[in-house]
Amino acid sequence: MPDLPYDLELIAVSKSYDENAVVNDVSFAMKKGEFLSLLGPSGCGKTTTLSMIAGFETPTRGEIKIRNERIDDRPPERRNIGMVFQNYALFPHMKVAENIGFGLRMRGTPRAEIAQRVIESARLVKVEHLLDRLPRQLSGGQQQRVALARALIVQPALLLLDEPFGALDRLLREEMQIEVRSLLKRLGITTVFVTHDQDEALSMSDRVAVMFAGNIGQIDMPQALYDSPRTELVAGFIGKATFIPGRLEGDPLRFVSPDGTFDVPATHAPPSSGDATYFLRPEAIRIATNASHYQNEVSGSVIASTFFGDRKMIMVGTPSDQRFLVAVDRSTALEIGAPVRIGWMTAHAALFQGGLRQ
Amino acid sequence: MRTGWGLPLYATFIGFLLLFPLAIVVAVSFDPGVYIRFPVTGFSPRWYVRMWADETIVLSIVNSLIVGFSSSLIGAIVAIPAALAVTHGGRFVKAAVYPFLLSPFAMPWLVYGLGILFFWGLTGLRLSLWTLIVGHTVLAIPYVLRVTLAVLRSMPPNLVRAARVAGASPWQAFRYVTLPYIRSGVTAGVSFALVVSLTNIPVSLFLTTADNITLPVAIFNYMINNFEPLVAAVSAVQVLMIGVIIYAARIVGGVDRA
Amino acid sequence: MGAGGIAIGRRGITILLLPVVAIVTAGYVLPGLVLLVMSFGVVPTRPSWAQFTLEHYERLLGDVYYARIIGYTLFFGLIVATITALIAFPVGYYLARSRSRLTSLYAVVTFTPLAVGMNMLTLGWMVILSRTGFVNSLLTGTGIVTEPLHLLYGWGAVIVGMVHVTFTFMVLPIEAVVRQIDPALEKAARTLGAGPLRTFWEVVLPLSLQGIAAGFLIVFLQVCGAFVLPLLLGGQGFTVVPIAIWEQITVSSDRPFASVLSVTLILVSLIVMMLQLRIARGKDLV
Repeated sequence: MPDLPYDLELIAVSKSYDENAVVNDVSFAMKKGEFLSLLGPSGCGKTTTLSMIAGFETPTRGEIKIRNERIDDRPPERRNIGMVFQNYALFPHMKVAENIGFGLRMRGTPRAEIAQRVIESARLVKVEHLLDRLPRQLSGGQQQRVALARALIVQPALLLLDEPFGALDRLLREEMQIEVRSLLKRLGITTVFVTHDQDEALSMSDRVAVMFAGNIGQIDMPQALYDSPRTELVAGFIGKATFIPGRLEGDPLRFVSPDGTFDVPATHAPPSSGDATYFLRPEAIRIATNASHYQNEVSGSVIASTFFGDRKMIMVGTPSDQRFLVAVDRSTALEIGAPVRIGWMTAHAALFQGGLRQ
Repeated sequence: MRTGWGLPLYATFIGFLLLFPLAIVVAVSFDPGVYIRFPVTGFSPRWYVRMWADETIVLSIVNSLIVGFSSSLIGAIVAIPAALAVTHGGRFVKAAVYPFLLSPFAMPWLVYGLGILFFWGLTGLRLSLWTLIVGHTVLAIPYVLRVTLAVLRSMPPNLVRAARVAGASPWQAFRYVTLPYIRSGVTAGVSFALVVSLTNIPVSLFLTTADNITLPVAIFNYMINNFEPLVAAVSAVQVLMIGVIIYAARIVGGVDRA
Repeated sequence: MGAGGIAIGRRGITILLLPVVAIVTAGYVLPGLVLLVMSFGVVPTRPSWAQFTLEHYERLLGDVYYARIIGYTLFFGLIVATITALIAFPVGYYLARSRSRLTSLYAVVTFTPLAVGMNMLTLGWMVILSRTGFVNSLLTGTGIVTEPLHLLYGWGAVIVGMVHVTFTFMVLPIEAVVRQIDPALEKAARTLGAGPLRTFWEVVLPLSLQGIAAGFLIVFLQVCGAFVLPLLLGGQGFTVVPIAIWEQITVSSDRPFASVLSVTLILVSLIVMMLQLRIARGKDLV
């Protein structure tokens, strides 16, 4: 659908301070109603990217377009965006109603219409009973709802969320994540969400852009990120995994490591001999029994066991000191130090060379 | 931790000592006698009535109020933008301009008054209320600047960003978000600058003539020349004025910051 | 910054600073320069190099009388700052640590010396210390002394008065610095076997030094520049630099020499301010 305009486009956007590139050639485009997360460790450039979209920072190079209009030279107030901030940034001297209506007031909307729309927005996020309160009289969850209403009331082309759930406790956070996601989907509003919490990003987003050191490492749907990470960095950042350093040797090529020689999984491009990293998700590895047969097997002993309630994870150490993370049945009883054989099917493994998936 | 009785007792004693001279002045101001002595010889509002018949004192009160309000307000008008500039400015502003603007606070006031006297003499302008207003404005700037800056530093930067994203221009963001946020700090700074102006003797001393004399200078002149309870009564009225101003400032400033 | 950023650009900063810099220049820098120029004997209305002379400075340096006045002034500053620090520290500590509701009332009390004005405080101490004042009437009334004591004029009265005047400037930074000391540190010292005094000496005092130093310097500055209270409570013969300046103007009408004394006092202030900036290092303790 080449004719459908994107709600947000970043074209080779870069930002540097005194020669230090903080954001480097970032490009992506979002369709209407899409929910995209910028995920990465602190200092990866996700917040700077968001600041450039909002207009708090000017890109050093590149273009930012909202609904096909270039906006990177406009001040924030002329970009028609809504934003929910970390810690909400509610105006402490204004009542909830004034906070929510602020954007309309700045646009010179008539008083009566503001009052009307404030009530509608407040209903949307279920704070209509709090309109006369001051922000400091609200709980964290209520403050967040008000912040959302304030951002949505102007019917922005784009909604920006800057770590909005960070200040909430775990139970409330999960509840709000579900509610916010379904509300935004219902309204069909295009949303950019910045977070360092991968669970949050994976559970809420249509697509996730994983950022490292100013670059987007991979931008993909959550499941694709987990199942087929394209770089070793992404693979290590998303979820838990086992990485085995070794070499590709022989003809046909086999993966050689101190723990044995394994079959090479199917690759997009033909791999070449040399250094390589073998990659396994915990779910790919099973405990080998006499009845089972896996294409690749390794012996070791249990060195740690962690119970998560719904599942259990053990760490298996081999004589060469390689550690394997294995997801096991929650009822599996294995003592620390017990000898164990583990194995996996080659199809469940992946291979990285030079940091890239082959 | 348990602090025992010693510390509160000591602090109370010191507090008592701090207030004692004020109480004494108020006590002698009601003495009907012609010179200050202790114990007081009676109770009479005589000197409080007398002072309003003294033209110099009445004039000086009016002058002091004009100079005080003008200088502290002008000080605020120039110091608030300066506080914004220091908050957003680079190293030069923070490390050089800011200390420079605070330095009048540390200058010996008498010397500063002398400098203004000589400078005003050069320009050929007559000493007037304006001389005092300019001088006191410079004194007011460090007070307003300091307090405003402290409040601005405590203000989350996201508040202004939130306003801008919501559609506010830079001026609107300042008008509707920053200004209400710093209001109580600014009022505190202004009221303090006003108090400094209303009590300042050394800066005003060389700059006052019969026309532009201020209240504290008038009191000072009386104190040098005689020791009547009138001085105590006028001082008590001055303190009362200051108390009213500080109290009013607390109401105007409000405490609605989160 | 470009139009997109919301930081204030260099031009914006300049515009914001323009009014304040203009007023401070006209009302403060230029008068200071005039004093400096006049201290070298130059008449600023008709300046010429021929007028330039160091004779007024030579007079200051050559006359033991003025050396003594400068010495007195500095000593006066040191002694008052020391006494105020000793008296104010326990109060500052108490205000920082106490959770009593009375402390907010007490905060008002600690502000009174700044708020009520020098004439009020001076007058108060005059009434307390004079021949017919509070102390003497108490002493003679109870028969402890038969003749009134000479309490009012001289070092004692001036020091008492200045300690009172500068009390706020000392208590505020001390309170601020003690607030920053985690009370758990004192508890830790106590559990490790230190008594209250040891804890104070080994933990609280070293951590409070920055606040004490900040207060000390401000008080020192205030005392060196003080004029009204020393003049009225010191009486005849008590001369510090500001009083000397006043006499040069009102009695001798010697403007160049008054300027020399002023420049000297400004130099002292500048040196103390430099020290202050080094100690504060961006922290707002006052």
